[in-house]
Amino acid sequence: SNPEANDASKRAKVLNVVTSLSSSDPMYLGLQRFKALVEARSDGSLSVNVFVGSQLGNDDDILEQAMAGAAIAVLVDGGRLSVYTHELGILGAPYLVSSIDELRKLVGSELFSRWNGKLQDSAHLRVLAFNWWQGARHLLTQQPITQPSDLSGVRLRTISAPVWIRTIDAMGATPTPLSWSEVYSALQQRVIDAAEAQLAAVWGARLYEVVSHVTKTGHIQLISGLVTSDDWFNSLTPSEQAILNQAAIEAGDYASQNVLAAEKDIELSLTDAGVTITTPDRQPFIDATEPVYNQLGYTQLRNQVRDFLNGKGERE
Amino acid sequence: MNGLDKFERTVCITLLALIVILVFAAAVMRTIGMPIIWSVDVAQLLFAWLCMLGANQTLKHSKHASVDIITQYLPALWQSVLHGVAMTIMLAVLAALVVYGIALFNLNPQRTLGSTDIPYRYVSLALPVGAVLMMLSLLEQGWQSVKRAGKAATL
Amino acid sequence: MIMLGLFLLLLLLGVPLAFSLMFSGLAFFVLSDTLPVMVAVQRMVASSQSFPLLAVPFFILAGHIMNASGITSRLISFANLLVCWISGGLAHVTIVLSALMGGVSGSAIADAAMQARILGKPMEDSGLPRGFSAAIITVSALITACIPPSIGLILYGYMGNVSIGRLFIAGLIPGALLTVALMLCVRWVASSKRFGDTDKQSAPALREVLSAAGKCKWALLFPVLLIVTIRWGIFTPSEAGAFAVLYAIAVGMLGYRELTVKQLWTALNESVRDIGMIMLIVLAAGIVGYVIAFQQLPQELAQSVSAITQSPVLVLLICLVLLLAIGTLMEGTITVLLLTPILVPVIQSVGIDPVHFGVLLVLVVTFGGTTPPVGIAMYTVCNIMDCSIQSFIRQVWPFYLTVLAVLIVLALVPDIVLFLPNHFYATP
Ligand code: NA
Ligand code: NA
Repeated sequence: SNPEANDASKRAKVLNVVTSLSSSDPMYLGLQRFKALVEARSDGSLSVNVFVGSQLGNDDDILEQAMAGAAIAVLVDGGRLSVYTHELGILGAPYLVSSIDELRKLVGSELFSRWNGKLQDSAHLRVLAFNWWQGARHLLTQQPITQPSDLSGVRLRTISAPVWIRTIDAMGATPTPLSWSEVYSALQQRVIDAAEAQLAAVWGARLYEVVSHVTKTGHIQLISGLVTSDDWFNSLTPSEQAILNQAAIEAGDYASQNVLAAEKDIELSLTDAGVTITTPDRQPFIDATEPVYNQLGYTQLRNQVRDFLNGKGERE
Repeated sequence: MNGLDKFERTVCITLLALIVILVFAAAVMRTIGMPIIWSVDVAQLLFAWLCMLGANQTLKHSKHASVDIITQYLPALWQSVLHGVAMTIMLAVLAALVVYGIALFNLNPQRTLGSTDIPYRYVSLALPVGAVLMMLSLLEQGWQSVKRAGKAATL
Repeated sequence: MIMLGLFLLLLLLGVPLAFSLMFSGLAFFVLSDTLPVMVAVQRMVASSQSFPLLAVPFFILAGHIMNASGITSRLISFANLLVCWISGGLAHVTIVLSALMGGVSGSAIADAAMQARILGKPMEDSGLPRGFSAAIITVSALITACIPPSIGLILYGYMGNVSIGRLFIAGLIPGALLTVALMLCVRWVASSKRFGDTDKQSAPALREVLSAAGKCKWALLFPVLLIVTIRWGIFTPSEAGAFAVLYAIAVGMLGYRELTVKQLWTALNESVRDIGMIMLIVLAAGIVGYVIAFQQLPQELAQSVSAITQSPVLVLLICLVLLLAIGTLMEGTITVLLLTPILVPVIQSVGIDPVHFGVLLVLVVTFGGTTPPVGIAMYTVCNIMDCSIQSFIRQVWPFYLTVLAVLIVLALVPDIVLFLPNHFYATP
């Protein structure tokens, strides 16, 4: 009856999901799917509010709010989580995997679950799902790039986290951290010479208006996860927890498929907009970024990941 | 009290000067192709401290913006009562900032500031420290006005 | 709603703005069982960690150093030579000075106070009524708020996530328009009431103007440098602020040789206090801003507005009337900080350019600072000039009408505001 329904909606536990992306990004459709799935399956006991454009704070702030116990979740990449659990940073390391399927396998593995457990212990944060693939990162420049030496002296905007900065540095460019919202005007005004991003972001931020070349280095596979407060998660019933986890995985797959479907169209549109798209020989870039693993202390961990992907890890 | 104030003032002025230099240097170095990655991050760390220490300077030597359309027409007694109420509310706010500011400082020691290795908690620390200093200034002002009132009564 | 009530109550009881905001914001977190109070403190910390916002302390400091370094006094004599022969005399000087200072100073109120101190007495001596002088000094401060750099535009860009570079360039034409309109108004009032005798004076010869301009070339060059360096990517607006500070020091110490180390120290010290006041409000607004976003207030408001009308012009006018009403009751900074995040989604939902809206918003709330009941600029100027509010009101209305007319034109013809930014920046 009606009063009961009202009561139920009053008692609904609200999860606020925050992203720095805009509502035109393919990830936003995934978050909408997540909301729909959770609300339908929990029969009104859980509800989800989606906030775009960092309305409640930047990604680091949201993680901190979740640590304090707020009912909040955020879509973040592994690099940002590496300060809390070193292992998660390897997800943003250069040329870690050779295909998206491998990546998908890795974030669904026992190995990854152990990293998630570490995150819960060290920071009271919990990954709901880490399969939100946003695309491969490519170089956006004003001149053709075929090898790392072409990047010498190029001021290239990247994300301000160690694994990103080391990677760009190793590729030969000068890493220049800048907030994403400033990239368009900075490229236009030549405050920076270049940037790197996945195709969906190039399209969303209209960067094709201010760069002339896209070089498909695919140096980093940008994969994100939905991360929430462990304390809040533990206050839920087991069935609610299961609903959240399952919905996050399904919505992540849905978002990733959207990206994959959109990338071909975006590539055509970029060419139409006058951008030259090239795919270089990746080996020189792979070789150049090899030392990054050693610099960041990921050598052993990468062997573990490789063993797992080659099927040797199954015995663990 | 005077020595501490002089020290605070010097710290504030140094912070402001450093922020100007750091941001300008960042722009110049980037333009000549040798960006300093950490300089803007450090400038923002210093700015958090400048905001809170500067707010205390305003409290002591100038005035925080307020509205006096009603209070200015009230009799002197009412004015001093409201002044006391305002003081109490300000002290309560500052006390909350101290308590929860310290909790925030202890919450997240791993987070680092931008691309640097500096713990972000040293940005957050500006809040409770600034709030403690402002509480001291308010209590000092309260004590001075009580003393003045006492003197006026005995005269 | 409780938060708003609490805020207004505390404000009227005389609790400073920043503390009223913090108390009512914190109360929301304390009463909520899903929001830890630590989050409120985090929002204050985070409010200080914005790179665009660094422009605020820089332009405050630059303004103080300009006054100490002899730049301001040279601009005054230049403005004097240029326009004091027109009917209305020194009243034109304060207008032109505001336009010239607009390019070097970020704060309208600080400018009005400075001009009341320096020009108030000479204006009265030249035969202009005190109320008239106070009125034009106060109202012409709007020009300063419009011509870049402008603290109001920086705060708007920061809160609304709008390009500060575009906003700066957009302020130029409206500033020029206000300058011309106010000068015409002064000329009309002065000649019809025969204020200030300027019959014996004549326009200066071009040679005189050029030689006077040469004397203050460093000051006149500054706004040009500011715009050029921002537009051609040498500096972001914040970095241009740091440049402004060092430029003013260099001109004061090396060019005019008037700025001493002691004066520089005083300018830094005064700036610290101004920054402390503005920034504590900005930090406190961080808490309230979080609550507003958390409650999804902007989205709800946008929905209910678009339910009433889809016409951009109507939405714009509704917003401006609302801002004018609130602007006359509240201090300008706080209006910008609190209403920008609420109103920008509303105007964007009907297709209004946020740069166009930003210039209007800043003009309207600054205008609110020149009117009763809570006009801070009005009180400041009347206080310094020892002028009664009554005589101020009696003289100010032609200027109010002029400003309103300019505002309406700017609201109805967006191209006046958007022409320069669209010309200089391709649309992102
Ligand atoms: Na003026
Ligand atoms: Na200005």
